[in-house]
Amino acid sequence: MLVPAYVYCKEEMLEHILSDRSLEQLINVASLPGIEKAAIVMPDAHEGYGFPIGGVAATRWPEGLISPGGIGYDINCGVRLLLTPLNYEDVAGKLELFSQELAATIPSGTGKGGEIKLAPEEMDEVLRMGAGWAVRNGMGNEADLAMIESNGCLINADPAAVSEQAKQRGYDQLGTIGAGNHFVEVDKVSEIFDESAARSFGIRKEQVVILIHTGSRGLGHQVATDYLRLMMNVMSEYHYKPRDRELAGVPFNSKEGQDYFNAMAAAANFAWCNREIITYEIRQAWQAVFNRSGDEIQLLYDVAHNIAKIEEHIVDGKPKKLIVHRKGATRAFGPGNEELPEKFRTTGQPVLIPGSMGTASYVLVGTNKSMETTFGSTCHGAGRTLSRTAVKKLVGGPQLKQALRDQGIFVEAGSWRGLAEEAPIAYKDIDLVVDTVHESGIALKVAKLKPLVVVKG
Amino acid sequence: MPPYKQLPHTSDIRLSIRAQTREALFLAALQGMSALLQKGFCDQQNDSQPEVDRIEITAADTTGLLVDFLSEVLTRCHIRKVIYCGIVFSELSDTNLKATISGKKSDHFEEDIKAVTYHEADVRINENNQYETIIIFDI
Repeated sequence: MLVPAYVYCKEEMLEHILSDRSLEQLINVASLPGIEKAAIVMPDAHEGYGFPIGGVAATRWPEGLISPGGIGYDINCGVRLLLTPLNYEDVAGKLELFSQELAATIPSGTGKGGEIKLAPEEMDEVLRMGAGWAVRNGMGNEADLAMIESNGCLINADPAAVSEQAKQRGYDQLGTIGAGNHFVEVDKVSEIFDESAARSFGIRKEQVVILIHTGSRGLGHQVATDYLRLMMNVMSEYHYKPRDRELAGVPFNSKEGQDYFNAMAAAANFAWCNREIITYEIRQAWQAVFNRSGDEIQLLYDVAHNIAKIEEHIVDGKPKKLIVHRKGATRAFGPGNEELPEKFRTTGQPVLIPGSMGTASYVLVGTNKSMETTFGSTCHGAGRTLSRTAVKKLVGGPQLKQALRDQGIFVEAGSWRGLAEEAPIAYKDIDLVVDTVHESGIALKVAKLKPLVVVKG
Repeated sequence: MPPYKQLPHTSDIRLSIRAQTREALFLAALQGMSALLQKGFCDQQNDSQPEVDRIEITAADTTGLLVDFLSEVLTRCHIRKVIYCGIVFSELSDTNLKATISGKKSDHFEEDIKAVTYHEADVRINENNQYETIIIFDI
């Protein structure tokens, strides 16, 4: 190990983390060429590919390693939170209708395409412009852009670095959720922990809010696959032989490293455009069901949790430019950071942590403690503890839907099997995960969200 | 015993694959992946026009060759909306594969496989003189 490995978790969660290879993988990460300060894993950690999920690692810019395994197959998988002006009592009678309208408006499910079919030149524009493409084409609001991490566009994105196969996989996938643990969820704010931050964010108790969790779909998966294969073939030229094939990587400033970084940025832009168009679809559904303008729905923030960024952090008391890999970890910049929109400069950025269906999700705020200790990062979700096979033996889709309905949660799912696989019992206790980061100070609790509607593939 | 079987995995899908020959191992892995995309698809009678694709892969070793082969097939499944069930090799060595794969159009997949991973993949000959490996699919 070249640097220490740090694990953020409460004692009662340690058993889960020790039950798989998360720590072995973290130790491998701590040995990456050019790694700085520490390899870190969050309390929602579980075994990933190369890097553990919930992992954060920073390598020295410009010659340190960049590894697709440190970002994950779903590039810029992330979360955005929309704020509505209505309270729970205003919508309670129409929630079932709203769930059905959302399911009809937002394509979801395995390999499902949407209404938008991009031409090749439009695809290149999406990859260059990110969320701005949706706004320019009437499928987003200009005001949204400032409320997205990196304004929804990484400027180094290069469509030419993205393979034709990756583009083909994305031509009909904008505005779609996909399957697995991706969803659109309508919540009510059930608890406020920090009145001041909540007020700054425009959040109040009983308010109806909407969470979106999805990423770059097949396009991003293909970019990761393409570059992992490429790096595996060339990394010996850079005298790098990782302990695990999925840790394949190259120096950031190599030709292959730059190509990957620019392709990853293009895929990240695709994901931001995707979440912007899903927002447009939600606004349409809102208008249809509540007979109110969809534009009254405001974007609080949109954060990535699978990405690599060039950032400056303090290492050994000095500012240093680093290649920060976040894989299942959310950026959590604290107050005063110039990367943040003006609105969040005094509070720190909103941090959005989705839980599992039927439990809770959280809004937190980034802190300067996270800047000092975790490269401005925190957890990203609950993290699975039960396999899909195991959970399906314990619960069936129809029973789960009814059980959630009994709790006041309307679920629209593409398949019973897919629904059962995402049952809450398959996940860690989100309260414990969030309490861990709160108590360690790497993000602080602002509000708790209770699900009312879940739409998933 | 079927040439592939699913083993427990917390978040994704782990297949154990065994076969008497390297060619049979690649076919079993292909059919195992196809069964994840749609259970029973390759066993169904289907009168639709067969979809045929040529595929060429080079990798550093047999493990890399198998994972890269499955990745390439998966990509084509997604792009062409086809599930592939058959393979005819014109060349298969430790590091090179040239083959024709065949399958049928499918209007849906049951599993959204993000990627075929190298994690735990290790093609080797076991004590029973069979080829075997684990393949984990990120879903």
